[in-house]
Amino acid sequence: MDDNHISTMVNMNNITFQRGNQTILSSIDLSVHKGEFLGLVGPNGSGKSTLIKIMLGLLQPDAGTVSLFEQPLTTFKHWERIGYVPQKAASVNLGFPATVYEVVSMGLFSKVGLFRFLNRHHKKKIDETLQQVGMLEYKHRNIGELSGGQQQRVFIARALVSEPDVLILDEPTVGVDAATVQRFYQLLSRLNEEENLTLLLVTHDVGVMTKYVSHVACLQQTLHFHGSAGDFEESDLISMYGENVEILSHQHGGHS
Amino acid sequence: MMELTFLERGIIAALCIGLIAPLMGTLLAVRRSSIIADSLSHVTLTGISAGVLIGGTMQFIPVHPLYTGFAFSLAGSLFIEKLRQEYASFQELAAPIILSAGIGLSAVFMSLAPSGQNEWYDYLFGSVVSVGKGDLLFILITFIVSGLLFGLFFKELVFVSFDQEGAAVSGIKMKTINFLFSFLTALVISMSMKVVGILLVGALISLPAAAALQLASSFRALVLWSIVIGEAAVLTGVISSYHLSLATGGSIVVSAALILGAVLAWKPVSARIFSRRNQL
Ligand SMILES: Nc1ncnc2c1ncn2[C@@H]1O[C@H](COP(=O)(O)OP(=O)(O)OP(=O)(O)O)[C@@H](O)[C@H]1O
Ligand SMILES: [Mg+2]
Repeated sequence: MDDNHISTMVNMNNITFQRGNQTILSSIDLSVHKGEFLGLVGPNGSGKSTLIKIMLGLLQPDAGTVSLFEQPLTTFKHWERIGYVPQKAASVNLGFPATVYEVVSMGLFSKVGLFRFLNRHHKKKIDETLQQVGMLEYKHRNIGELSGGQQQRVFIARALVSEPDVLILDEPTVGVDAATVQRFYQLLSRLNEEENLTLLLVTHDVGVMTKYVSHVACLQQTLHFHGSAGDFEESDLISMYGENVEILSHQHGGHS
Repeated sequence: MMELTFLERGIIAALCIGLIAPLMGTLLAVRRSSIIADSLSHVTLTGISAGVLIGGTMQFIPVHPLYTGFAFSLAGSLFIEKLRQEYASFQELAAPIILSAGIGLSAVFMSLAPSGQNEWYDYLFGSVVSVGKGDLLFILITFIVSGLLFGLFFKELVFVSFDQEGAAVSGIKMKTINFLFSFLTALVISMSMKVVGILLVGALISLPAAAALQLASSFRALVLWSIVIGEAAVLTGVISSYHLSLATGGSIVVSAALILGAVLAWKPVSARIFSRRNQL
């Protein structure tokens, strides 16, 4: 694929999604451009995870279209360019006796191909990625024996190991301690700035998030706000969460 | 094929099964769908009974019961997979229905077939001395096919078992892999029929994996332990059943259960030994 011409990494057009007769998402238009760091916020049950699953083809919308890297989702094949960290790793079977190394190596399977095994280059990449998320010393530990926050870091490493161009994270810092959250955001913004990694982050920690992201989208069945982080106001949040929302420290820093 | 004695044929067949069945078992165990192997084995018996009936009553049609068994098994596994996708919670209901309908139908077929009663017993509990040349050929073919498929797609099968969504987003074709799961389960069950028998094939699939789960801390180790335990159970089972004239499937599964028991007993003992050593 010729990278240089592609600037819209994700494009969702007029997406509507229903469960039974409940409308979860209605007429959502959302695009994520190359190099953006988009924070997606919204109350519990507002449809954030649903939107992401539609974006990745895990759920079918009732109306609307999705394209990734300017290709329709139905014909998109370059999945190694997309990293995904699901919310609480919900679909993951933690009774599975896999080591941290084995879990991260799965992130490379789409690059490795049939019959072939991981080579020295792949193994080095796995070590580097584990180092990045601070989990290298746990390499041979069983994934089921780690704390929730440590497991989350392993899944972040699995998403990063194939060196994706777009990284999609659904509440990756739930259950992660404050110091690690801070380091995690620093890692994300470094990847964003130095490697031009495009990021889409679903989160509830609005205060921390607004310091790092370049764009914000607020979701509550429809998109209430979508724009640059600098234009994002407390009133946007209040209109969505209601008056008694606790707005946290709210400085915008760095780029955008 | 060269002239082999009954025992030699039985041992070759058993070695093939002792490798593939526990390998399948590791994947079914982590998918938490070991019950599927049980229901499918009963559907396979229906197919085998149909084959025996056709072969016994219409001798001009050359059918081998293991092939009809495989055909039924494949149809059954595709049906279960379809149900699993469309009604997530229907699975618990569907499995027992398929299981009892399968065994009922095969009882009817077998009682209609002239030689039914005797053959039925062999297929229920397995019999190493009943492995004929045609049976061994079927077992070798299915062994090679399933071995190739495992070799080609093992990474994908593992990823899908571990994390469905993650696998889908990494570009793995879920439809293909789910079909492959059904196909492999059907292959493994029908190749095990003659040696282990319908009632016990589920145990041969799940017991080695259960024992290996106690020992392994990585997936790689789980696979290796399952195969080692599976082969050990199968060899002791076949040899003891031959010399003591026991039902082969029975002695194989008893060996596997003894190994599982030993592993469970050894675990707390070894934990104590190692923790004491670490304290010193
Ligand atoms: N499997 C499901 N079956 C039925 N309804 C569901 C299912 N998953 C989600 N929903 C409903 O869809 C709506 C949106 O859910 P979604 O998970 O997208 O919310 P969210 O914004 O990610 O919430 P959270 O912040 O709690 O993660 C909710 O009303 C929820 O009840
Ligand atoms: Mg969510």
